[in-house]
Amino acid sequence: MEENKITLSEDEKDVLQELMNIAYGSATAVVADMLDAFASLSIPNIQVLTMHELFETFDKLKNSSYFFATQAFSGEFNGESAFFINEESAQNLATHLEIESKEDLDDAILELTNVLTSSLTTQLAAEMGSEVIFSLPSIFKVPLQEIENVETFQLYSQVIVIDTDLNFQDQKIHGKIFILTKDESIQWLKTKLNIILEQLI
Amino acid sequence: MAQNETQYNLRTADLDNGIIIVDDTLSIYHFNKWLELHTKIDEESVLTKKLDEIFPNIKTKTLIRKIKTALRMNTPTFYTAATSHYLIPIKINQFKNSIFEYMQQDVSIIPYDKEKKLVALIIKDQTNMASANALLNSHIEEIKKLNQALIEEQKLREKQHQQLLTSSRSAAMGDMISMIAHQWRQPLSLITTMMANMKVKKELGTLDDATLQNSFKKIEETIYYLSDTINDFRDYFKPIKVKSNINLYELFSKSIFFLKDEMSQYNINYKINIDKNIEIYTYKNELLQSIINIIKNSIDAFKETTLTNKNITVSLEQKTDKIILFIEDNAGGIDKEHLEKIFEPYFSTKSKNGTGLGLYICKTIIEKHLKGTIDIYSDTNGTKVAITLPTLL
Repeated sequence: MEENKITLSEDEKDVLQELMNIAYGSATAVVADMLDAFASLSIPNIQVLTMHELFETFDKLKNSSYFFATQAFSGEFNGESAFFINEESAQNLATHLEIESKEDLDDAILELTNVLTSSLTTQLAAEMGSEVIFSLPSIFKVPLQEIENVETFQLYSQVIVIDTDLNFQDQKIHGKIFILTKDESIQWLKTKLNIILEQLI
Repeated sequence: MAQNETQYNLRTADLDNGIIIVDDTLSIYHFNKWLELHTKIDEESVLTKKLDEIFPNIKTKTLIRKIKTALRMNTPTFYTAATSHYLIPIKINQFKNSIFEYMQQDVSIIPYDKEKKLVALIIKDQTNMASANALLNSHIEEIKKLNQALIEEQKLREKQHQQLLTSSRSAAMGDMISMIAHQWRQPLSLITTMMANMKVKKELGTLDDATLQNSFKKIEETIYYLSDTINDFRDYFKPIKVKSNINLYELFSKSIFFLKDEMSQYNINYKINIDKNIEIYTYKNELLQSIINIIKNSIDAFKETTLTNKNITVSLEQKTDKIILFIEDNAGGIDKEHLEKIFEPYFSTKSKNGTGLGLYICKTIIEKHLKGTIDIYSDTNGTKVAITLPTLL
């Protein structure tokens, strides 16, 4: 792959995993509150991927047309989240929230994206003694075969991918969120993780 | 409360955003100047009232959910103009934004006071942006449609071109068969005659060995001639894409032998004014196919005239790295209106048997394969075709 690829050591991954566990715990509670339903989030999977590898991952999700929303977040820890939800889950979400119009459904998916992104990244940043601010999320309905054309993705060379599955068992709503961070944020994250590691020893 | 209001006013009066402070039951705590101006509703008249009472279009359940989520997470939640259009209905009176009836708004719901469960609704006018987006999207749609139409047209054109080439091949094949038939008529009748002769002599008992040997020999020679003719035709028409040195005098004298019968049938004089040593390096069969086509056009033109002195003359002009071949006839010329369309596919002036592909294919071959040009000049006397070709392709 790329020559200057940043990698996370096993220790760094472990710490990040721990921090994410705390973050996704709080995110689960917020989402459950918001939808007034029992939700679970899978333990986040953390990887450093090149964009090529990321698109391959997206490719594996290519079983139906996905709703796809992105939200940028800024601060020392910055990047973009990408939330995928398939048509069936989106319909089930609409039913659960008693939504009738397409625009209200889009709004609900954006809300879900925002809640997941905010709760995951805020918590993570807070653990590192930092803050994040959020842009308004935008929604695209992108056929996955065109996902490589999504312009913002062209800005990344490699990304830390923190992906987690959102699951509302009773309502049959499943989604997948990717937290993508840029190269300098990965470096920042590494530094912070090492500070935490040193404190632990 | 009054003190709070003053505080809020000081903070929000000068902002170019709408700001409403509400609690999680939608009771209004502050309604800033910007909103007063745009909605023509005084802050005083709305304080402590519910936001969804003042604006019944608001979906209470959704807004309360967003407020509670913002307070719960301690980070903002949103409405975006792109999906939700607006929260507070504000009529637009500007002509330039007439695409929307109401101001398009992005709304951020920011936790303001966690204990009192207060949030600030920050309303930004995004009408210009939304209009630009709508305009852009309609243009993108239009461009996509045009692009698709262009792709379809291109495909159709390629298909038509392929069909034309196939038709031209069939036409060339048809020409070839009729030329072979023409070429074979005389030798076949010679064979038939000789065989009939032998049969008669046999029946009369006058068939001697010498006659038999002589007749067989002649029949054999004629059959060889028939076979040679077939080989010649096959050589000229098979699509071998190999470049070679071509002697132009030979090309015009020998290679077009299969047109000579027809020329003598119609008393056409065929003159070659070409130096016998001039050669060019190109695709022989392609060039020959084009030349046959042009000469056949001249022959066909003579068929419709009553001229007594019919001439087809071939000549050549040499330039530094190219040659110009002229094929000229005195068959009366082509009408000016026809001349303009002569290279278009399916254009034919011939009453029957004209596919209208001959000169179109000639032009295609000469320009695309032989990297040359073809021009046609005509007056009431006759027609002159000029083919310019590189000496070394």
